[in-house]
Amino acid sequence: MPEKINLLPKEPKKTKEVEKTTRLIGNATYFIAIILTIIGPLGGLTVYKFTRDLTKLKVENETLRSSIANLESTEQGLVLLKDRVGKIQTILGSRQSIEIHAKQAEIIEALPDGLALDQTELKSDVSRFSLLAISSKALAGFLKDISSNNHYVSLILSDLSFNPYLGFTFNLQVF
Amino acid sequence: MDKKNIFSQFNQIRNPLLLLVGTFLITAFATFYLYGRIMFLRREIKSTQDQNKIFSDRVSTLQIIRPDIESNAAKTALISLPSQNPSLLVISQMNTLLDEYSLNLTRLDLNLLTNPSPEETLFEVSISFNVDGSYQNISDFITKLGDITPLVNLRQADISNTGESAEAIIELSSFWSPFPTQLPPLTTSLTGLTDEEKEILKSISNFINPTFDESLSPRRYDPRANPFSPDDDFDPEEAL
Repeated sequence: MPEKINLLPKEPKKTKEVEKTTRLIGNATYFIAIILTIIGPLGGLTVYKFTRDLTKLKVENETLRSSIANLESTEQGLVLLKDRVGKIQTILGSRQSIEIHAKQAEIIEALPDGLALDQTELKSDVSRFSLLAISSKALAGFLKDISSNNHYVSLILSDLSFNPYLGFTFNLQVF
Repeated sequence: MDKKNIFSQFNQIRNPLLLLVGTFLITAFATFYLYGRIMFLRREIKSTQDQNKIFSDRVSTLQIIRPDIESNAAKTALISLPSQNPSLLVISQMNTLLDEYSLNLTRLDLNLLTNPSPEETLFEVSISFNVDGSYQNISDFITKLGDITPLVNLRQADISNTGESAEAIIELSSFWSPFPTQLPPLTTSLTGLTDEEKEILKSISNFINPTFDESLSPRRYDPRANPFSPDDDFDPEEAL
């Protein structure tokens, strides 16, 4: 009777340690595979959603850009107007002289009888004018009226002189 | 444990180990890729949202401001501070006022006060002149100068009164400024006119504008007839 001979190499017998290590590796592989199956679709969905949102935003962005391009003439007008208004504000802020002239004119127009204007000077923010008064009574009356008027920040009376032919001459400075 | 045995044991765990390493690498790659992609998309979405907000504000600001830009006050602002030397416009305005107040102009000098340089944006020209007339008319004329465009500033006004008539030495300065040449970047926010700016526009809207301004385009006229061109209808004998 012929003897059966197994020519295939014999599977080495697994030791306990090898089996334990194999089980550990297998578990770790399953664990990582589970993580991959969670992260993969979740991440893919998130990327899909974000890409769609971004596309929508880009479309909106293009629409807004074209609206801005259509309003470019208005934008130019606004930039120009803001530039002009800012500088006009600077100019208007430095225009005290005309206001001081108005105050000066107010005094001169209201001069009572017996007083006459000789000369006025207006420079930057100071107004100076010289007046003639035919009598001390007219002068006193005028000074009383003007000093009771609180419309002026400051009034300076100077160079008061008397001439028998002209009367009293004096200078007044208005601020 | 001999070498052969160790090799044999490693062979037994080789395939599961390769599977573990492969799964780990795929997971790590997928995680890093997806994380990077998500972060990139989030940044892009945030920046596009911010940009859209600025653009949207810009569009609404421009739509709201449009009537103000097209108003007469805005045109007055451009005439009040032109882009070129406004001396001629100011003299034209002065001339109208001189006629209105029956004053005589006896001297006129122009003097550039600021030398144009790239840093300067507001230039000033001095207009100095003498006028004759009654004190009242001179005074009203000076007051009225505050209501004309282009804007002027009264630098000096000396009036000598000689009873019935008066003589004044007046110095004005007028201003001009080149127009801005650049628009603000698209990504910066745009603000409309503030209340203060609207108030200034309102205050200058009642100013008296010159009858002509720099925005006028030249008129077209028919070409003048050439007096030396041969004319078929011309009869020399008849002309003589």
